[in-house]
Amino acid sequence: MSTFATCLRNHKWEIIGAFALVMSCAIALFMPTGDISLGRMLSMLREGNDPVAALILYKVRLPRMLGGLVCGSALSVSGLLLQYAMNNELCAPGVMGINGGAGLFVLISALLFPGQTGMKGAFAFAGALVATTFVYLISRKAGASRTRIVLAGVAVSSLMTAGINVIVTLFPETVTDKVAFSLGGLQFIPQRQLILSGVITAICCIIALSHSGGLDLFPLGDETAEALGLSVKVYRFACVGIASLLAASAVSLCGLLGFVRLIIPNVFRMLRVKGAGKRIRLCMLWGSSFLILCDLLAGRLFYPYELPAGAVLSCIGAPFFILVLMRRPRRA
Amino acid sequence: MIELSDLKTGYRGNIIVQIDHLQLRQKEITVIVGKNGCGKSTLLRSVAGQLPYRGSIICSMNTADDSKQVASVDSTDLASAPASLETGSKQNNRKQKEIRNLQSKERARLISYLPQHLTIPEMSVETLVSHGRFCRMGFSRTLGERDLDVIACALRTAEVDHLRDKSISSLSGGERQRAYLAMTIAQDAPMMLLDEPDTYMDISHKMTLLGILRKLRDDGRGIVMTSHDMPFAFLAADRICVMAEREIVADGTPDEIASMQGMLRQAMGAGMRKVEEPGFLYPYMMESGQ
Repeated sequence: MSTFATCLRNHKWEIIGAFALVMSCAIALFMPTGDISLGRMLSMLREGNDPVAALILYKVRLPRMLGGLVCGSALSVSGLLLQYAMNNELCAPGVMGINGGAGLFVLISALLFPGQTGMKGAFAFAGALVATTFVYLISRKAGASRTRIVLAGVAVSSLMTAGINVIVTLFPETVTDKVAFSLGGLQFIPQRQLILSGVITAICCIIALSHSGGLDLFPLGDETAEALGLSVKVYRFACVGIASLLAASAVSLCGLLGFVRLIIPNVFRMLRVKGAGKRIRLCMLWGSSFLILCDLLAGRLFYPYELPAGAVLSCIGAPFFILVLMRRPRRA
Repeated sequence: MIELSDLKTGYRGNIIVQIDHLQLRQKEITVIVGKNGCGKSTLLRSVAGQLPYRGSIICSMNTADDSKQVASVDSTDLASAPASLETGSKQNNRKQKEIRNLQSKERARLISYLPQHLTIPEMSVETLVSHGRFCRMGFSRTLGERDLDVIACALRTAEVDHLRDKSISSLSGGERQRAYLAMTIAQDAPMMLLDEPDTYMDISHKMTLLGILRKLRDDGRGIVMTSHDMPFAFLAADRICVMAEREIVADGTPDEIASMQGMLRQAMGAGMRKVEEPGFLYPYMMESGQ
């Protein structure tokens, strides 16, 4: 009995997180709106003779929920990996040039293939990968220390932003697309992109989980970690690579949703959750349920107007983050 | 044993250390002394496999009788024991390995290294020490019974057992160095390289450290350390290597080194004299360089 209690205590955040995730998924799928009541949804599930309810459930709500699931866990795990690899809590995909690259390529796709929203996702993905490859090549030439990688990221980021500004100035008609993209949200989830991003996210998360033991050595400093048997350079590049794959797969689905990747990993750091593997699991659970809930709020708060999920995310996330930040650390 | 020959190493093409021949042995405390910037740390770093080098650093770790530590790993933990040690103990011969050709984990099982600059991570002492087992964990990355035993033993050996639940940030400088030393001990490597492990220690901490080092030596490990504290170095060492101008200029027991007054004054800027009267903590005292 006591071992069961200890187990409960050790895993309380995981248990609460799993519960929150199941709840938010259920709400996202079955929340009654307008003339779609909960009863109508359930009877459709039982008897399957209600095409309108089926359309809403399978074509609107399910993709959106799955999108939130994929993006939420991808973004927060990506942020966590970067923060570990760079030994810097403020590290996020934005710093690595991922946002800039994705943004630039979305604009290019709007220029080359106006009106084809399907191309947007693929281009965002390509842009994020191009930017990271750039950062990788530069830092490999300049040495793999963590400040150099961050500096390379900042440089590439500003290069991409410059490109964005040039395009916006020369072709102002592309801007509408850009605004929607940079606010971010789960309103439009293309099915093929959802499958691709979902598979990539799942694979990356599994790899991250199975190699989480090495992440714990990064805070000891490069020299000590290397002495303990970690190939620091290889490991750091692998982390950055996986983090960018995750970020790219999220960005191509939901645009530049900013706050999840910074806030979720930091919350668990400040709550003093120990161990990288545990933090990855928590990031997946909490990141996805947080994003799904925020997206729900964004859709329902001022119904029929829909807020961008990114705005809601920051409105809820920022105060919460500040609260956790102000909690004084307990000294052992 | 680690054997350096014709070694040239440094940073970005600048040669900082140049050594014709040097043996670092097990069951021995070797202290490397020298002025600031003479290349002590660089030497340790290159032996630890953290720097590219020219020449050779050959690591030939031994079999059962030479080191109890490694032998016990061989017999009880075959699955994760390094291939070199397994074959070494089975065929009872020394397998020679060039440091630069070793994988990080394999190297970490042979040589542990404690850098001079230590970070203050957010973790408990026990967690820190358990990271010493990283190079011996299998794919599951969980600590086995033997790992836990070794960790408990390392905590006791480094005398940080009472601090195991404290966070690293709450420790004093000397305690933190001992916590890191415990991590290095838990790595269970036959050779230990310690870069100035006594920097932040007062005299009582230094005496504790000396006890720990001697115990490790008596267990069959080889200790190679650097130090700026000459009297402490001469007290702790079985063997002293004096470095000056990128090279090892003298190598011998404390008695032998102390007798080379001219060399010491030139290399260190001070001489050492044996104290004949009883009751002194240190057996050698420093003399002025003139």
